[in-house]
Amino acid sequence: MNHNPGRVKWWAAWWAVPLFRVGVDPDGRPRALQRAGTY
Amino acid sequence: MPADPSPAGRHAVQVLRTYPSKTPPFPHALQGERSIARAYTKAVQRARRLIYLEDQYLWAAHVADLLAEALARNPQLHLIAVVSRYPEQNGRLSGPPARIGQQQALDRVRGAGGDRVAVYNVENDAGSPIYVHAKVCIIDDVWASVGSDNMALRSWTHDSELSCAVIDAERDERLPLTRAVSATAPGSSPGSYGCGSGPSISVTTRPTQSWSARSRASASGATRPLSWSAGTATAAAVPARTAAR
Repeated sequence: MNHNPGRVKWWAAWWAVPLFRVGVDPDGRPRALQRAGTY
Repeated sequence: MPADPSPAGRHAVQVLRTYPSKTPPFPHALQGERSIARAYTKAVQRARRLIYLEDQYLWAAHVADLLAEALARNPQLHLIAVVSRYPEQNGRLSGPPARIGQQQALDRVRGAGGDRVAVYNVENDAGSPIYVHAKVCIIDDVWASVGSDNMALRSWTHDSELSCAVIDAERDERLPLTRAVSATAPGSSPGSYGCGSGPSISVTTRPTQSWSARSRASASGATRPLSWSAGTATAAAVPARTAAR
């Protein structure tokens, strides 16, 4: 069936977004590559 | 060190890895390794007709941007993705980060591709969701990747992952098939599609347009005919070769 994960409530988004970036899906690249946007 | 194995088969296989850049560094990857990310980047940028994904997550903005740029650049390109209905961790604290990450990624991809993008989750006959743990990508029935990596920045840059990419330069002469999930058609043969020992959903296969007709329709053999066509009435149509998994 079509997939839709469902919207996160606005009051949860303000902490969920940074938690996602830092803890759930972190960036393991060297700083230089992060700045360059490449791998 | 053992000798290299003898050549076998006609496919080119490349082993890809991810190691993070960390302190102290890995002795064999001082700056880390991101060959999985680079391979996906190159392959997606060259996609012409169809990107088929089965993935546990599909939630990174970097991955979504890569797919979105390919969809925006090529109006003939379609994307079909099969993901899990619910995140692996879906508690009050763990659920929102996973859901918002995937929602943002899907918004970007759907915004770029519109109705050329189809994202599905799967369930068994009883309606219970089947957790998709696969990490598979097939592009234009030419390039395929199977491994431990998910479509996520974590897998592409942070964790230790191992994957194999296969390039198949040989034309597949088999008749294209369409797999219709939970659909029945006269004369069709049922199959199964599931994970591990858990319940399976029923699938049927039926031939679609003949290979010769597709070959005539394709531009002088410049592109490989695909086993997927937009606008079919099936719930999910995937490349025929995925049936071999």
